[in-house]
Amino acid sequence: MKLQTKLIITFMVIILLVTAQALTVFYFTQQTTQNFEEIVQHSSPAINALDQMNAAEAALVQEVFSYSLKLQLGVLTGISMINNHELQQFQDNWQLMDEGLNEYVTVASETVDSSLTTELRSVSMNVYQRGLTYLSFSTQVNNPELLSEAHTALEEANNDFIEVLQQAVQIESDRLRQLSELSTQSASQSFILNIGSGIALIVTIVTIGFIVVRTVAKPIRTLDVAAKRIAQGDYLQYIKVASNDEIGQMTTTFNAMVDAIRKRDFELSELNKALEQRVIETQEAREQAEKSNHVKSAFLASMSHELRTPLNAILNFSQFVSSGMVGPVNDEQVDLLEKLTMSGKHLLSLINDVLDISKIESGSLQLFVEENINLSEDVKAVIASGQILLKEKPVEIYFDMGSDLPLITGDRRRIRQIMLNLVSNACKFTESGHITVTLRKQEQELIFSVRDTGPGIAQEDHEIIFETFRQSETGMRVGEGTGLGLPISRKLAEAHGGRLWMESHIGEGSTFYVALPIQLVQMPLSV
Amino acid sequence: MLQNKRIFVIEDNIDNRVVYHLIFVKQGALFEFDRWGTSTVSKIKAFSPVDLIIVDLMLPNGVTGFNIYSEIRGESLFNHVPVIAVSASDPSIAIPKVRDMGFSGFIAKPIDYQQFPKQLEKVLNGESIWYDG
Repeated sequence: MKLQTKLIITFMVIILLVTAQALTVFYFTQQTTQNFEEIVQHSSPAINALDQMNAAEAALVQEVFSYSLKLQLGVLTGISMINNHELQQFQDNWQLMDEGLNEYVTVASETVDSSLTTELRSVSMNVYQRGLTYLSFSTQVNNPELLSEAHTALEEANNDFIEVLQQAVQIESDRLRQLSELSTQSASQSFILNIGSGIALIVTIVTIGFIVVRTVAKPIRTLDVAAKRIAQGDYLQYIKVASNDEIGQMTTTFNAMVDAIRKRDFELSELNKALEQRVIETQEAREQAEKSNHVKSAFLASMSHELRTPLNAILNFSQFVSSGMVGPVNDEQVDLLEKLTMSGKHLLSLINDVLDISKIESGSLQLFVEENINLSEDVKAVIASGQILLKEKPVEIYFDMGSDLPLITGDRRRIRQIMLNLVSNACKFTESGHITVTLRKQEQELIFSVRDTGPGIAQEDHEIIFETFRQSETGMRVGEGTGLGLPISRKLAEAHGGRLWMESHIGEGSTFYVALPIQLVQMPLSV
Repeated sequence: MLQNKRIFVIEDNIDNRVVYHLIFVKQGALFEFDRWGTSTVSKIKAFSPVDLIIVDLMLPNGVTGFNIYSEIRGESLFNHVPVIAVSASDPSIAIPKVRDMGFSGFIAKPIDYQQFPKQLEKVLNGESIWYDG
């Protein structure tokens, strides 16, 4: 059964019980009232009737005596006093008596023995007859014995009547007392019943409430305890489904949830194990990579040494001979030797660039950071190197240096390498006009720029020139370059937390910019 | 420039020795070569007073200019003499290292025969020089 249904039934039962209690109370109260009403209804007419009889009889007897006295006096004084009016009054009183009697008989017929009413009727009749007799004898003043006899007879009848009437009154008053006792009894009974049923009702409601609360609260408490244990990591909880209501459904859901958690927990721990394994593997892989990186760095260092060593002999010997240091040489020999020297220098720059790019790409490039570098000296040295490259070309180099240049932190050699690369490129590609080198502070950066009046770079080559071993068409025509200078420079700038970019249009020259943070933010090189 | 300067060169490669030889002879310098060995320190002593010591960084049998530097500096007779490295080793790695050790300079191989005497003169004048080629 649903919990909702249970609760609704409980409330219905309680409402029913309360209603029943109210009805019972109402019923008993009603009955008590009825008893009293009955007493009043029943008793009053009977007593009234008796009262009426009593009064009428007394009046009648009184009338008879007084009228009789008048008659006797009239006879004595010779005045006839008889008249219909007084006789009529006698009859009226009798009439009232009779009515009272009839009324009484009607009202009391059920409760009073018929012998009493018969007797009452007989004594009443007796009073009437004796009264009448006495009246008719009243003129017989000459016969006092007879008069006195009639007088006595009326008094006797009167006494009999009063006696019987008193009996009737006694009966009525007894009945009244009896009814009164009965209704008092019934009232107290109904009071006890009301109290009793009230207490029974309270006990019943409390019991029902307790049972309902127990059926609802107990399984919830069980769930609560189980949930707490689960929270502590004990997943071996299974709660028996005890009812078919919402709590039963909740318990089923709870069990399913515990199952799911247990499963999830297991999966999680499996996953965790797998993850730990992966971490170990990754660590091993990293160690392996570090090892192989170390081997690579050692190889690069060795390569660097082995490739440059023969170039020391090649470059110097060719120049010794061509300069005439070791004996006379003719022009043709000088020309060839100079070409040999040029090729050797190109080979050297290739070796240097290849080694740099290998370092960058293997992630083994290291910056040797110095603080408080004054770059203006370096820029001047770089410009001097550029002047040599210009040879006889009609190109002017201008240097525009901002005031109050800050000292910066970075790898001085590498920064100079970037600047030399940009200035050399400008010198190589500019046939006439001017090259403007600027160095200025902008916010927290130092901006180095090289603007030339060279051929400019086509839009489609703007990215290509930063790719390794790629050159623009102009670059390839001019020759000399390795196609590595710009990619290396850009990576070196980025390694300093800076950037390198350019603006150029065909026929309008090019401007290359390098921004370096004044306070070095060393970045891991992205390969 | 280097007239009568006494220069001791620790170099094993014959071709490189020829390069030094031609330059120093032209400059009028006095010089002596040795590949590093147990007798080198005594040879330097014999060559004293020495003005400048040049060491190659990568020598046979795993000997490096760094070991040599420590031994030279341990000798009171010439522990004040400037020592420079002239090497084909990667300058970006070698320069910071030799500078930290206390060398007076580094010149990358291949050397520039025209600039080389001027560079040495700077060292003899007490300057530090770092040429990465």
